[in-house]
Amino acid sequence: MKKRTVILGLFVLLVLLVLPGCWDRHEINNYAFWIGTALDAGKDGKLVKSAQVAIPADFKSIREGGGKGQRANIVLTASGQTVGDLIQQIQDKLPRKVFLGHRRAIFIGEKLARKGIKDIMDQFTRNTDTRMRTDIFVVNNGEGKDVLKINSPFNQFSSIVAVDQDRYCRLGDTALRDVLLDIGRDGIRPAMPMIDIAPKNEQEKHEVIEVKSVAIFNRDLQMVGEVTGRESLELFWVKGVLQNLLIPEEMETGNITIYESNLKKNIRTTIEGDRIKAYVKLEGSGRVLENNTDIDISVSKERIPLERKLNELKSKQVEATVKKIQKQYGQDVFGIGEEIHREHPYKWKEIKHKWDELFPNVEVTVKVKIKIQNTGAIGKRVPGIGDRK
Amino acid sequence: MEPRVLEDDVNESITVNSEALHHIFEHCADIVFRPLNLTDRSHILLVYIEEMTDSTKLEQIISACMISRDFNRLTQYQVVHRISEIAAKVLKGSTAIFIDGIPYAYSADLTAFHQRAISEPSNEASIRGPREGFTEDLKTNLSLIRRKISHLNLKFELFQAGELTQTEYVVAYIDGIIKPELLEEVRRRLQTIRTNQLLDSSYIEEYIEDRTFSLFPQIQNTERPDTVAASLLAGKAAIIVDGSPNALLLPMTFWAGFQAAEDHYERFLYVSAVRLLRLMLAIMSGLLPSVYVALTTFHPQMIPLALMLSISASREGIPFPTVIETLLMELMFEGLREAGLRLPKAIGSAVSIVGALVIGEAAVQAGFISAPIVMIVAGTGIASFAFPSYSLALPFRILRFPLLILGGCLGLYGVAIGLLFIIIHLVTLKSFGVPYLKPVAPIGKNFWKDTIIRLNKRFVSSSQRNQ
Repeated sequence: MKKRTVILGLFVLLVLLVLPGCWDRHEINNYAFWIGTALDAGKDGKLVKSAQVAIPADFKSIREGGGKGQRANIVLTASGQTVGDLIQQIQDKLPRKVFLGHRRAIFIGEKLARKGIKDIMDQFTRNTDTRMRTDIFVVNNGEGKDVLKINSPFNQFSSIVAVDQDRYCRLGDTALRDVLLDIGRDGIRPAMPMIDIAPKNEQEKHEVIEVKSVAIFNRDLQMVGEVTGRESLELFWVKGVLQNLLIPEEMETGNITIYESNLKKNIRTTIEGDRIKAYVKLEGSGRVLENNTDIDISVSKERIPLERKLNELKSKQVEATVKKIQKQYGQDVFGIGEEIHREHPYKWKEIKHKWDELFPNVEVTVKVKIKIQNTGAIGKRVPGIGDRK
Repeated sequence: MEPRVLEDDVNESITVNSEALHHIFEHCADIVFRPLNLTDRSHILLVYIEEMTDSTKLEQIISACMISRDFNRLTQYQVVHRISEIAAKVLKGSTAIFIDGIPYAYSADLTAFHQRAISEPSNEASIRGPREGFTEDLKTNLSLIRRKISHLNLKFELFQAGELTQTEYVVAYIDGIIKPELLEEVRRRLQTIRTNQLLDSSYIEEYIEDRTFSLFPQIQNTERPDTVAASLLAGKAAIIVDGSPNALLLPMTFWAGFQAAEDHYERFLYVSAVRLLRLMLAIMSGLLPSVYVALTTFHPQMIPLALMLSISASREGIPFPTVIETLLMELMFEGLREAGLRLPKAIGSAVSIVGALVIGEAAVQAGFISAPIVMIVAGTGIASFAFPSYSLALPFRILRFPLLILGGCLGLYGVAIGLLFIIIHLVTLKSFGVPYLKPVAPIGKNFWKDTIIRLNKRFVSSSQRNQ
């Protein structure tokens, strides 16, 4: 009797051990790896969701040198009202279980972005499968779907190409997590990089992704505008997410290009009655990449005035950018409100409701402090062009 | 006065003695009775085992008998009064000398075995350091240790066990360094041995170890006299059994199994790096297959995307689930290893080539087994050879399978549960009163000095050494 109980107990233990896991057990080949998502505004206010799904078998054939130029992925599209419903619709088109844990990028069409992305963000935060490191982009003048369809020669997945490019194109890499954090704060408005699809030409057989602008969102998560090129870099510098910066500057005797890294920002705020002032201090140190002026950078006497001049120039430029964003879009994408929150917490409580009205009138002073730490291999430019006196 | 039992006493008459011994050694073809008739008409009887006796010395005895009966010329002899005692000595290799008219016998130690020469220990080779290993002869082995520690406090306590085998064994320790409680405990446990045979030191290990049903070895074994010497100096006891080239060292800790003798001969920085590598490989040898299965079947989000797509691509069209695949390959590998171990060298290499080709190449080509599995199994195999102590590698080899099944059923959660049980077992395990994981758990002062890494000897006192 006792022996039977022991055997029964062991059997129950075994069953308990083996069975509960079985429902969660999926072979790696039973998953459809969802690499990228595109969200667009469809007709009649519907939402269109596209998915870039990996096809492992194709991946193999590329490795073996067989089908060059194969995509190794398919793009599936579904339209409907809610994101959750769309995931199920896409699942219905696949023989394998959708797996969101490896999604690398989310592309939002500009039309949808301008309409507002408030309704789609909830799903990202609620779904436990979502990877917070997923990068998020707005597609400039286009649909997210088109990005997914790009054939890039570097990687079979255009989503991954976009992510990698974001990392190297100086515009920081903005992850879903960063955007969600900005959304949750009162004193900052979200900004995310924008993707341009550069058309094919003779040299470039493939369509190329370009990341050069930043989209600016308001409190209701509607895209209100964009800044491009130098201005977008300056925006991210003041925001504090820029890693490095290339400064090509026109001087009297020619132009000079400086590569700046170790970028830092520091904002101080003062409130005097109704006047809110913000002092932005931007720092960086870097090396000279190109020098077409007659300045000999290896001599302190010549370099220090150059630095001073560059700082002055750059301060004005950044200040102008800030002013433009203040006046044109009126959205605090820099996080100056957050700085006020930190420095004047009680005052902030009073003004945070009307921050959107107050922000355009904040007096922003920018002070750039760039250091030239490395002049490169030579001090003056190529010998013979500008001889030492 | 009671009459003594006459049969067991050596008689004055050589004929009576001869008969008694002939009776005892009935059907013992290896025992030689050699009667000698001397010129003075006295009779002498030599009883010995031919193959265990040094023939030159025997000739010396005979000539000594013939000339003067002066046995003092022979250094090693004893006077024995009992027939049974003399019979036991003859069986151990001594030569018995009976002289007519003398009511006792001489037992001369002329032992000379055909024995293996001292050679390099085959299972514990080292690049630097002494090259000698134990042989099967107890006396040789003791001399090897004595030569390393020439101090009067090095004690060899002689014991005997095995009713039929009559095997002698020695407990070695250093008086003043070993804890008296440990020595007392060792003696107490040795007294509990009830067996009629003792053919190897492992027999003793099974009788005196703490937990019979533990997978982990609680007594260390070594072929190296220098390892024994170092352990004795660290306060351990050693048991050396006649006929066994493996000495037992006790108590054993988990970390001792990770240390090769060479660790103390190479420079410490290199040794520290190698020890970390060994620890890593040990973890790999136990966990690699189960973690792989758990990650790919339960937690694909934890694998980097590019790696996962590669794995996924190589798994396309494979008929077995990953668990079964891994289990099959692991079994095949263990089979290959077991088969290769006992086969003659010439065939052994053939088996491994066929095995490697068939399993590694053909199975992947045919699409039965995915390539990552072959790599995982090979990696695990290599890792399991990195243990300096073969006996400590065995539990890791066995535990790999339950962990694999747990990982395949419950994912990393299952692996964690399995690990938890193993750790619970390890921390409760004791070897002769010493916690198995000492000095890491319970944590000792300066525990790191000679466990996971090794510090320069200047900074490590001998009591902190962990050989």
